[in-house]
Amino acid sequence: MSLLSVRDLRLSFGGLTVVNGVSFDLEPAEILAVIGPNGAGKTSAFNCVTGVYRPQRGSVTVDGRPITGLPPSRIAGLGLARTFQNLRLFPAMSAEDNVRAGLHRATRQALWDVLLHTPRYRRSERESLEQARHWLDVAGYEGDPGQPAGTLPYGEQRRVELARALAAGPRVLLLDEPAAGLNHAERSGLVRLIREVRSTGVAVLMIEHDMGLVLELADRVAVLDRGRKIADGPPDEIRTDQAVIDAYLGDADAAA
Amino acid sequence: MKRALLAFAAVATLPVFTISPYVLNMAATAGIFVMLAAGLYIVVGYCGLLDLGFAAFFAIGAYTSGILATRFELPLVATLPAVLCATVLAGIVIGGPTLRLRSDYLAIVTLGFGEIVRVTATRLEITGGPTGIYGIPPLAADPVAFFYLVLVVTALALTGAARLGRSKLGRAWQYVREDEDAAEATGISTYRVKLAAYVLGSVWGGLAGVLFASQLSAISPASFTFLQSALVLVAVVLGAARNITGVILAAAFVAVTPELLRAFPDARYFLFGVLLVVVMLLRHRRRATA
Ligand SMILES: Nc1ncnc2c1ncn2[C@@H]1O[C@H](COP(=O)(O)OP(=O)(O)OP(=O)(O)O)[C@@H](O)[C@H]1O
Ligand SMILES: [Mg+2]
Repeated sequence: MSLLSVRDLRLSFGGLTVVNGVSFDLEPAEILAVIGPNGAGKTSAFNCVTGVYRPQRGSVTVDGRPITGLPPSRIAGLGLARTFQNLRLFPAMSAEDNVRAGLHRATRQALWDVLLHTPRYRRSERESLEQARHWLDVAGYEGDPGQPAGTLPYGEQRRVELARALAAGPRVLLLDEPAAGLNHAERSGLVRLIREVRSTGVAVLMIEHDMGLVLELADRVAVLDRGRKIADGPPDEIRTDQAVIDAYLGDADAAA
Repeated sequence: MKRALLAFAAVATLPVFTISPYVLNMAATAGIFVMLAAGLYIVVGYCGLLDLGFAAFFAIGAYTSGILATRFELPLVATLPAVLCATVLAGIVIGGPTLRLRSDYLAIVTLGFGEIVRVTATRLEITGGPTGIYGIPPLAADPVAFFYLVLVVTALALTGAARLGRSKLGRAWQYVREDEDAAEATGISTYRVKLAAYVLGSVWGGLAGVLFASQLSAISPASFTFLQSALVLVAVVLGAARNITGVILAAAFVAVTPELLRAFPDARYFLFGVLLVVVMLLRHRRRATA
């Protein structure tokens, strides 16, 4: 039984089918990259897995337990944490408070403790702050943890979002184009981080356009094109797959 | 914290300068209004939910305590447990089905709810119909004592709201306000978090209603109109929506100004409106240049 198992997923908006019969499995400590041209349905498939969209057909299971139809917060609670293609931070709140969102489920605070500021409340606040800073460190964040997230440089915002996902202690980390917009140094930091995360047994599901990064990191690559999965295999195989070259790599070359 | 204590001490010296019941009464009115604003601040300021019917909870608190106190000849304090139950229940009954809606729909539903409560109070016999309920025993008969009571309760309400804001729950409210989908994706049950804001706001509003019933000793549906809901909302929005100190000042301003404008009976609300617009524009300008 796989950690995450997606079977025959189908999603359409009105008449437009954007995900059409996609299946894949993910094992602990595995890095699966999802690639495909723009509009192929990668983010939509992600959204089906994390409960943002409800697929018309197909199933998603975690440890064999079906999760389709559960609200996203419940799915997150089962150990799926994600980042967004277009950063989704809480802009007016500090970097550390953003990360504390990931700790929300693990933090216990009774109303009375909060209203009376009991030692238990103080301890819980101190601990969540320490943990938030720890995850910011892990993500390579270098700025002021108290600064509003919306005012941070782009690279730092990405790290805050990663730290927030990691703070939830996920078993599956879903990253939607984590390298987009990063410079060279930031990109190597990301590679190191993803390797480190994987070494703790976390499975990584990653949408990425940067082929260099995909070949460097992924154990397996799934290729989507117009809603369908057209290939799935180790990076070396994918690189030479004719259907993939036609659908995607060819496009990229032509665009380059 | 120090500043809050200083402000509290400063306001507490008021009876040293005057024990005119008129002034103390006005101060108590302002205090009750500040408490209402603190409750709505939880809902609108922290959680970003637009509530246009907040006076309904004010009414539920006032009527629950007023009815129980007059029917069963209870002291007003003894009605507090019932007020707590009634406001929590009202918050759940109204919030439960509506908080799954997006904010703009919620605004309309709460507007309707506010009107339903007011109209129901006008029609029912137990609420005294249009004339309402009178002869409600005060919590404290002496104006000075009542002033201090309101001061302490309001200070506690503000402290409570501020402390909630600095807790796990308060942060979750702010996540919802900032980006509801991201909050949900991070594992926060946004529905439950919103319901908690709504219920707590309702309790704050209901307790303010008890103070109100005590102050006037008579309540009627005319005290719980849409205008009242709108004025509380004005105070919260005017008070910077992000900052509880601003809300205190704005609520005091909104509560006291119409009273001070009594000297111009015909133009009272006109002048109040003009003042509001001017203050809003000034605030907007300051924020734009800051
Ligand atoms: N909420 C929606 N309503 C209608 N159409 C949508 C919605 N979300 C996505 N789509 C459509 O679904 C298709 C797939 O979009 P999706 O974002 O999944 O692609 P993608 O593979 O992630 O592309 P990219 O590489 O550009 O991020 C697109 O044609 C898009 O316009
Ligand atoms: Mg995408």
